[in-house]
Amino acid sequence: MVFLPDESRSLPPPPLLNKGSVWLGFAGWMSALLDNAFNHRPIFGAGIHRQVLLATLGCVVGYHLVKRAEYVHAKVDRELCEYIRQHPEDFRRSTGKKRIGQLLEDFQPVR
Amino acid sequence: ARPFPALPAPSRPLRPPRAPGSPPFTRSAFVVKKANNAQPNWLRVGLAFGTSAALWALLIKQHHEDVAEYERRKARAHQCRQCS
Repeated sequence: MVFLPDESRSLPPPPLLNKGSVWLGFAGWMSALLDNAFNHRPIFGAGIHRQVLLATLGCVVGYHLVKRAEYVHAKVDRELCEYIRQHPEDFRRSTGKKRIGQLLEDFQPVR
Repeated sequence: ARPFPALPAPSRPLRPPRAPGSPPFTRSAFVVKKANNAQPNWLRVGLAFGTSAALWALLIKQHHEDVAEYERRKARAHQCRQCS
């Protein structure tokens, strides 16, 4: 089971800073700050190397996860569109748009 | 007030009460060292920054390669269909 199959490279790649990489980078930075807090160190000023490393790791993991997610979504869309294309009889547009008044039952006031 | 009576001295060294048949007391393998935050481990700091720089370089390179590959495949697909 390949993480990113070759056909995923035919998709437009997500931007470097996408929702996954930013969020996981932020989570990595937060975990470095938490580590500072638990070890009674200054929260922001201590362990800059740790904060940078964990934020970087989060960005890298987030970027690749978003690439995989976009590939899975594209694959599902492709299969869905292919199914619709092969079964047109199930997806016919109903002739004549129905008004909502025709679909609802008649109003019977209850007093 | 009457003086509190002293406990009799034990005739043998005290050992923690243990159920019969339990394993003998062993020393723990985990040792706690007091962390010294005043003297940073510069090797570890350098390695962390170096690894971060390398990871960013790899990530940016990977992104450029992905963009180039996508453009290449898009151009090839358009070429096949001969649309403008």
